[in-house]
Amino acid sequence: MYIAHNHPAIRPGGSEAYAFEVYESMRDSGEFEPMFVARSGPPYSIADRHHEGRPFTLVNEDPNQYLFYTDATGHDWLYGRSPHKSALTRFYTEFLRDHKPDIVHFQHTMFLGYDILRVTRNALPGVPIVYTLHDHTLICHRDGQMVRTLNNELCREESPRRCHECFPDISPQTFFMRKRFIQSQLAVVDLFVTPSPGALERYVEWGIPRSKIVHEPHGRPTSISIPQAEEDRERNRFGFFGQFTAYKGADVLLEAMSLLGEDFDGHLWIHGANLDTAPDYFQEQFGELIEDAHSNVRLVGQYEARELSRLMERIDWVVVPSITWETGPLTLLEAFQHGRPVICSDIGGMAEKVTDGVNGLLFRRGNAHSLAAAMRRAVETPGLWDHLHGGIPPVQTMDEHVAHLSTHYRALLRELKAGPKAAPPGDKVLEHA
Amino acid sequence: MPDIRVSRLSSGVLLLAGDSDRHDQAEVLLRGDSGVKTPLASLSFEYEPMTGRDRTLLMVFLPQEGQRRRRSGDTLLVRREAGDREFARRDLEQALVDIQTFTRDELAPLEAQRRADVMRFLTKALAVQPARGAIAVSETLYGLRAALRERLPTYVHAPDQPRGLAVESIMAVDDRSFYMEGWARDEEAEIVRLTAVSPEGDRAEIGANLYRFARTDVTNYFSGGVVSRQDPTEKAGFLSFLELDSPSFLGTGWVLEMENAEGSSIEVSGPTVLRDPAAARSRLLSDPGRDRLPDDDLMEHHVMPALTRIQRRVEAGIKVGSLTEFGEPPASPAVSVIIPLYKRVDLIEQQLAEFVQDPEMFEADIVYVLDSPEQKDELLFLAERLFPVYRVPMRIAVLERNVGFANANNAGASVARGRILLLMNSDALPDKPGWLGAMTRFYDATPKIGALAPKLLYEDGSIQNAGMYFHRQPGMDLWTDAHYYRGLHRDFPPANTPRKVPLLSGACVMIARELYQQLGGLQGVYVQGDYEDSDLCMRLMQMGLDNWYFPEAEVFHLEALSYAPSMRMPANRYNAWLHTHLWKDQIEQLVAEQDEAPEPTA
Repeated sequence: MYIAHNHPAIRPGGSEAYAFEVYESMRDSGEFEPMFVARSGPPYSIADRHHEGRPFTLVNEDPNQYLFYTDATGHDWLYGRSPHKSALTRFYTEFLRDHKPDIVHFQHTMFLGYDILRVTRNALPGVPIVYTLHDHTLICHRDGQMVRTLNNELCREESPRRCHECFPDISPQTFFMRKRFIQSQLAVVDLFVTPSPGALERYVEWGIPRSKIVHEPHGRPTSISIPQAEEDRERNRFGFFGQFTAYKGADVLLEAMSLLGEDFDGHLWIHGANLDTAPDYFQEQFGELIEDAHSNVRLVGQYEARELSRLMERIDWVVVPSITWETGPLTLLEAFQHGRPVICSDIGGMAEKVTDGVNGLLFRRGNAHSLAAAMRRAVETPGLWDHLHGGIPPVQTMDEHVAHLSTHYRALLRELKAGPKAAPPGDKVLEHA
Repeated sequence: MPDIRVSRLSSGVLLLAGDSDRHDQAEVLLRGDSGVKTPLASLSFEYEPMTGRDRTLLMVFLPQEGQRRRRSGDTLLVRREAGDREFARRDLEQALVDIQTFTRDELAPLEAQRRADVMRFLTKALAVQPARGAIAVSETLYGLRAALRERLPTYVHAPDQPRGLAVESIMAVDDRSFYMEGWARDEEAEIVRLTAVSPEGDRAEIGANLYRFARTDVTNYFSGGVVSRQDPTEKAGFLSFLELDSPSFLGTGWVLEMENAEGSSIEVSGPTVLRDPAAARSRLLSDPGRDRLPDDDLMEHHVMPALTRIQRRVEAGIKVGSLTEFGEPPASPAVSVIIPLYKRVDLIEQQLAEFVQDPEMFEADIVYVLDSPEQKDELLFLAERLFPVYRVPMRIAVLERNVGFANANNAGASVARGRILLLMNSDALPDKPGWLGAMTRFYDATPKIGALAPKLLYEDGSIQNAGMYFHRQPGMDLWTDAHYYRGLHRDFPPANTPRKVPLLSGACVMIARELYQQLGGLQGVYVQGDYEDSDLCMRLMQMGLDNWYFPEAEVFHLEALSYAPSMRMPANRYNAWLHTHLWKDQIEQLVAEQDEAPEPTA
């Protein structure tokens, strides 16, 4: 049973799209029969009173997809827990017991609360629980990015004092309690999966036992058509695909274009969305950069997933200028699927996949000059694009990815046969004196 | 003057005034129709009117309605050595006049001092009278006071006045002791009398028992701000802990009278009495313009008696109001873990998330004690939601009212089932499972052990408490607690051997239940949570037992999350003073012994 914090049909998003793709691939080709349970309800979808008493509803005709309605207003973002425990201990527990999954695999516990893990263990004492770590949410209160609030510096080490430095209103003791609370719930997880080896190391340092965490690179669905023949043309077209948040670094890219000047022989198309949800200062700054941009920058706006191939075909280089670590990022994999070399920041999940001069170019994270130099190099070095294009590794398909996951599931189930887990103690109804 | 005058203060308090030859005790009985004689409580007061024979005023306390039905044939029997008098009920009722008439005719004609005396006598009705009728009697007495008290000129506040006084606050410590603050000065002669008069007419001479301190605002006011006209040694401010013989219940009507050596007298009215114990305690501990260091005289004669009574008043009402059980309680738990909760009830979720990972906690008797009972619903609702998630069996005791850290622990101990108590703060989080069992085994295996505490850590993993010792600033009288190895890395070798230490922190401390109860638990005289732990350790050492530090068990203590720090500073000062005051000799002896002995070893 896959459990996610959101269904991509309700609101689009990277990790939920991935989660759903895993479900589809497992359903169509895998050896396990999957279910997909996605949380719904405010704030992503409207508050809907008719869900009371019946929080599990169908998504469509698929008998294995459900929406799990919870009211997440009042959700404590700092501790990652919700005050509404009865939704978990009553309805969710019943749902688990009715369906008796062999494996429960969480993609995210946002809006659900980390204690859903413990409730799952209580309801299904012997069933392995798997948890995918898409980002650093468990470690970092700043949207799981591990970027410091002081000056957007990268954070390599978590501690109550350092977290307090980023959030002066929250005491070190509170951060300590947050970590202990989360780790208490994680104690019931049997296997953690993460797409980035760097993130794996960071989680091990944070306290997850190394024996319980594995690295599994993401796959991409194979239904996307990859252009085969490449026409011969000047390779000077850059594309950015992503959200306009401070973390994704679109502003760095605009600055770089500005540095390169009006007569730079390169063009940039910016595809993205969600500027309105970014903090005000960023909206202002970004707005100014767009206004001052030269004519070789075009703001395209939002795009749909199925348009991606067409858009990718029209550009040569994909720029991923994120200032955060990134565990995927999915944009990068999509670029590789389309044979586009990537120009990206030299950190985290990006640097794990891109080797400078082999399949793309790296630039100094957050540094517009460095990015500008890389872009100039991209345009002005003859034959570079072809060389890098040739060095792009094949992207694992979703089916292959799901097969890897299945190997882990099988191993967990084998261990289970070897020795059943101790049932959690104390299963009594409360009594009043 | 008629022989007998009869009146009453209330339906239960009869007044009889009559001639008396002898000054001997009267015995008063009520004889019913059947002949049965019931003794009644009574008080008598002798006085000499301006003319005529000596008189006796008898105050008789009639049986309560319901205790004994009064019958028309009842007779009041007054027995004296000189002879018996009988008063038939009918006759008494006929002779009865209202209290105002009685006062005017019988008492008002007396000279001033006797009037004051008789007023004080009448207030004794409040001491005997059960609380139910007390307010009515108080109000009657207030009216009588107006008729009987010799009024002095009222002080009118003006800068050119040679003498003046003011009462700025009156706090009720309990129903017969009060704490009064104000200022009093006289430029012309020494103040020889300061008398506080309660609304009911009781009088307390506070002149001899004042704590005086400088009040520059008062001094400035009367000197017109001209420094040369000021007496730099003037201590116009005063405060006094005063006790009345009888209770006083009325909130308004206090008067302060002042007389100087030359016989000039003035009086001033006092403000409404402050009755809330928490507010009173707060004011007692604050020091507007007084010395920063606790003054011995001030503390010992004023603050301590007042605070001790307030704390006792609070203690008298300690009761566990409700006890709710969650889950199947362990059959015969060895340890009861007592955890007081005050305001921060959310911390329970944090602790349960730790306890759930430790099978030993499922075998312990966990008792949460709610010391902010107004949060009862909030806490029980939270517990009902959390229990199905964590399933750690526990009980929640809700106190009837807020009683403070010490008493909350004592209340928890009173319902404990284990033979060993582990007192724990709500902001204490154990690091790893197994800590409780390790502590219990060590406790059971160590002879002559009094109390045992684990290593306490800050949230960054450094040592918060590894045992404590006494420390005194050179030149100062006050002993305070000092911490071994505070702030150092948790693996610092000297902090990692179990050893005897003088004092342990009460944030997490183990003690045998019988021993705890034998000692009466934590002392409630300290304010709000400080030094009770040291006090307990001192009493254990006095019994010849040892206090041990056990570093194998490590517990995080997120200081000051459990009881709000808003009152810390002044409370700390008082607690430190009180602790020294109670233990000075023992501490000095202990320190002397320590200086001689080498470093404490296991």
